[in-house]
Amino acid sequence: MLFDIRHVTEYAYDEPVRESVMELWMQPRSGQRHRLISFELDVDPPAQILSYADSFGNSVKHFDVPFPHRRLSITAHSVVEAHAPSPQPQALGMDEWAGLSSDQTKGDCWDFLRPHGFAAPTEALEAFCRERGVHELKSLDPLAAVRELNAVIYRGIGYQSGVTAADSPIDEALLAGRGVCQDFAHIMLAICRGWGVPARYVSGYLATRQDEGDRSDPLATHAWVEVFLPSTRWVGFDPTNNTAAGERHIPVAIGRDYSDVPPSRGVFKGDAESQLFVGVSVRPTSVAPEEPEFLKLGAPAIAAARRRATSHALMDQHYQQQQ
Amino acid sequence: MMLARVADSLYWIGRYVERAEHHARLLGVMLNVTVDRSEAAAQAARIVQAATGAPQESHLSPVGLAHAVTFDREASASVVASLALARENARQVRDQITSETWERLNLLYLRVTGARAVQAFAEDSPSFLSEVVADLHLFRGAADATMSHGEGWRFMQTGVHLERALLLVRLLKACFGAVDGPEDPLSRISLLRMACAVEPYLRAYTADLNARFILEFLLFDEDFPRSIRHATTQIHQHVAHLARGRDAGQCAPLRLAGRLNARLVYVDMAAIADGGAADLLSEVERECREIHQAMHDTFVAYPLEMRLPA
Amino acid sequence: MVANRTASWPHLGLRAAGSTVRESPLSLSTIDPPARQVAAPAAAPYDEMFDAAGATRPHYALLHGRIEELGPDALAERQRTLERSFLLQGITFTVYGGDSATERIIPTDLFPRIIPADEWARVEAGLTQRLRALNMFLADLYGSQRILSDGIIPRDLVLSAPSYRREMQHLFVPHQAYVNVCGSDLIRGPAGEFFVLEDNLRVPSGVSYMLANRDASRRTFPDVFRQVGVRPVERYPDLLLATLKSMVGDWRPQPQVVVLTPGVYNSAYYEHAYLARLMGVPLVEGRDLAVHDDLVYMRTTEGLRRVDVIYRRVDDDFIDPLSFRRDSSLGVAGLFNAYRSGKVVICNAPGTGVADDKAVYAYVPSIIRYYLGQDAILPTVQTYLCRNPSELDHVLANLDSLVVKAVGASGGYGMLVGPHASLAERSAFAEALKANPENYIAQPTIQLSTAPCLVEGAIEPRHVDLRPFILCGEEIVVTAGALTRVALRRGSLVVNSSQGGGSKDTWVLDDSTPAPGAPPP
Repeated sequence: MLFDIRHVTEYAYDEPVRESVMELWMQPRSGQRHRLISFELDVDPPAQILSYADSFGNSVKHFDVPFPHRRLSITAHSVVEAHAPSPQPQALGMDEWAGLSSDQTKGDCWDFLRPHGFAAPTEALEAFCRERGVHELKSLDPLAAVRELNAVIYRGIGYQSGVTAADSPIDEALLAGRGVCQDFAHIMLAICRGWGVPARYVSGYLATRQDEGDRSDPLATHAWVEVFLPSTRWVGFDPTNNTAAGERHIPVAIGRDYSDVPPSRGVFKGDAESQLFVGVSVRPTSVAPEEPEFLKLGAPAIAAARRRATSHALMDQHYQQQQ
Repeated sequence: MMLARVADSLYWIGRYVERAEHHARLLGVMLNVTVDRSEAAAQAARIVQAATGAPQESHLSPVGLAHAVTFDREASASVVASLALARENARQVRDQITSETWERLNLLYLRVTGARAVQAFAEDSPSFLSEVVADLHLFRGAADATMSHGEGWRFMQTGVHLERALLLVRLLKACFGAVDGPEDPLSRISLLRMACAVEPYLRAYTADLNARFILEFLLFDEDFPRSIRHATTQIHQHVAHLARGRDAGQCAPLRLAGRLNARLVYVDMAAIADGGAADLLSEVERECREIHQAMHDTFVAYPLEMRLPA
Repeated sequence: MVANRTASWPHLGLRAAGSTVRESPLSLSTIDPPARQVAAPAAAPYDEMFDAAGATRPHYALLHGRIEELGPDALAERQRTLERSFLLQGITFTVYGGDSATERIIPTDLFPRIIPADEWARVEAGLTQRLRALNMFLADLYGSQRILSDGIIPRDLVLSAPSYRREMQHLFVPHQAYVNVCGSDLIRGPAGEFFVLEDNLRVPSGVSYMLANRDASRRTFPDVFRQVGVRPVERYPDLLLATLKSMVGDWRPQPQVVVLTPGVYNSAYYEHAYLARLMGVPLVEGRDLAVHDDLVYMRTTEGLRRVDVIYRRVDDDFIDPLSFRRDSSLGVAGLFNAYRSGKVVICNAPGTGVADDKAVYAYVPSIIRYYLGQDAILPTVQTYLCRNPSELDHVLANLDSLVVKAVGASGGYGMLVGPHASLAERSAFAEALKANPENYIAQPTIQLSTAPCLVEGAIEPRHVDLRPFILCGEEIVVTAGALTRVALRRGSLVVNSSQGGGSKDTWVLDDSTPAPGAPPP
């Protein structure tokens, strides 16, 4: 199936800022099941777009705008061909656990076995696990355990945006009992890694189907989790929507947690409040990409960004939360 | 070609050392005059108070005033604070000034901030102050003799002469502001001393201590290094070098410096004689501040996108 | 006491070090295996000037003679002159306390420390070998990680170190010279053999003191200097510049080099300015630089100028708020991306700290063997990794004889010198160790060698170490000289300047040293 994806990000500043430097993790990954057909990036004010591959193999775009500006808008337009994954086996043998503790796996997946950033155990997480019987899941085989964990997180934490922010630790979502995809993913990563199951954060897009019970905001970027099992390799789970990652999950970047792969991040000089607007549309398409049509922006994702004074200029950085 | 921040620091070194020297000299003259309790003594104290910007309401004794203007680290105009700032700037551009220059300034700084400084001042303040002035002459000599007379040195010289013009304006305003200058000859002599001008003046005008001649001398003398005209000529000359190859119309500092210098060179002497110098002094002060701002905008804090290499 | 000693000088003033240590209540252990350590009697430290019998070593004969000739008053006068000249030159660091900041000179000792040519040859070969291996190690770590998959070093130990920068993975570094400037700390054991105690591969400092001390010692002992034949250190700045330039390919024939400093408030600011001045390159701060389209520029009075090589004296964390610490205002946003794209060179490369980690230190002999197939020329000090439970037990049981160091800390902070610590200090450290074992390593207390120093008018032995400076661009150059750091408190083993240490000049003799015992003319 072909997907036509448009992702608009706009920063608005109440005072002119200058020397904005931005990095973007917005270009979909090509892999076994996904093929990037086209990718266009528009930046306004115009800037030269440069790119590099980060240490996880993601394609990072970056640019800078030296002169004063009050708004900065970024439009990423991708067309991706996606294929459904082969169905997962219902269960694996219990000896799969032994395969996970092999030196080979530990070496290859070293990054994805250790706590990192927000994907780390906390007291609130431990309480959640006790309450929801998460520890008992280890009596299942790893695949079944992870699948069950996916459902436990889905049932245990409600979906609501605005409760947590892009830089919220998992405790905020755990204590509030509500959060967004980023929080679900971090919680799942922390538990899987605690079990010794390599797990990585996937930032991407979801062609939402609310008729099928998707909770995700269709106008935002998405995030889910992939776990590594020796006999299945990497398989994806989406705890936000209680589903395995399928054809509709279009990966953009993988990392240890959100902080490795924010859709955009940057700094600027100037003394200004900034607002961030994000809009995403993912549509199945059967034809070559059409002329872009007008896309409405959502509500501000960050009402008032943090401000911090430095000795010579004000620098600020801003992230968009994944929902 | 040099770092913008470095140019800025060198410029400020120039301004601060000039300020320190000028204020040390004013205080020395004041302490000398106030030894006898004449009217000239009281007037000298008033002039120094006005010319250094010390708070008017404070009724300090001349010695108290001298101590405050020498040591008050809070007031950026005090001698010690100026020297500390000059040295701090020098430390930041330590790689750009010669060791000889740096060591002169550092030595002076260590002396005036050292444990024995306050006591030495109390014991013999005139000597203390005249040593500061003498040390600053050594500093300037070292800078002139050992630094390349290139961009960095010119930024420093621009700072020196801009500050000098501003300080002279302040001094002349304090003396000639409302009235026609100091009335008694003693006060006139101290004014000349404060401007370091006694001997050069006497050679030019003999011992005729006429207030109008003094004003003319300090404003317009072409050769005397502490006349305003000399300062503006220097500013113009140095800025012209710094703006190398640029058209005056495109380079604000050059345009402003040239205009100010012309104002002094082609002045209508008769109008000054009739109407006094107050307007001219205000003009000079305002334009000096404009040059200061323009230097900063053009050479130091310019917008990035305007100055990318082709 | 001081007067007494001074009065008895020169007949008794210059004592061999051994006697002093016997007077001191400290029992210093050796680097023998721990089992023997407790029982073994403390050996006397090696003294640089006197042999065990108290006789002057041949290469010190001329200097010793000259010191006796000058007498205490002349020496004191020269010491004062030296200190005045340092203060005047601004060779100072700032001590902040209360509301005031005072500038102090690093205490500098008048007497040079002398190293004979044959001993230096071994040091030079050892350091060259070590830096070559460490650079290969870094290239491997940021490349295919063979050494980890071959199980030579535990993966966790390297990859979990905060100084490991995954951003550096698969980046091209010319000549594989990740470390361009290295300042290793060497010490001498009781038998006079040199050990490497620490590698400083991040932003090593102290080279300006080496140069300033040389300047001073030449003036203090001009005759001795001439007669013994001392190898020069004065070329360091141009060798450094050549090293930095060698990191740029031919595509930039006249590369613009700059020194990046955190600013005037940094304790090593003097050195940054000094090196920039002697290399004739601009000294820049982060705010002087800007990145546009992956090119790095500096703000000059004539507009922006391209920068090709940055000799940075700013820690990794602070060089780029976009890629590393976001709250840093010392660096330049986008600098790392410019580096990644090869448009600018950063020296030393980011991420070199992983190879001077105190835990990795224990593996350096294996690293040398692994990459070069050679045995290490310079030995390392036995090191217990507290992350290994059996070694932790041993450390806890022997805290009174060990030196315990925090893995991430430097500058003598976060360190316990067992024999000098109180019971309370030791038990506090024991708790810290148990709570966080992977954060600590321990080493036997090593008796640093001693060298004569002028202390309050008397000549007394003080413990010293040795910090040579090694440059590596296209090739490796060991400067024939070093900073000798001195623990000025009697009996102290801590030489860091932040902990009451001082320094002295180091004379490396060239081969034409006069025959031993040659009489002073």
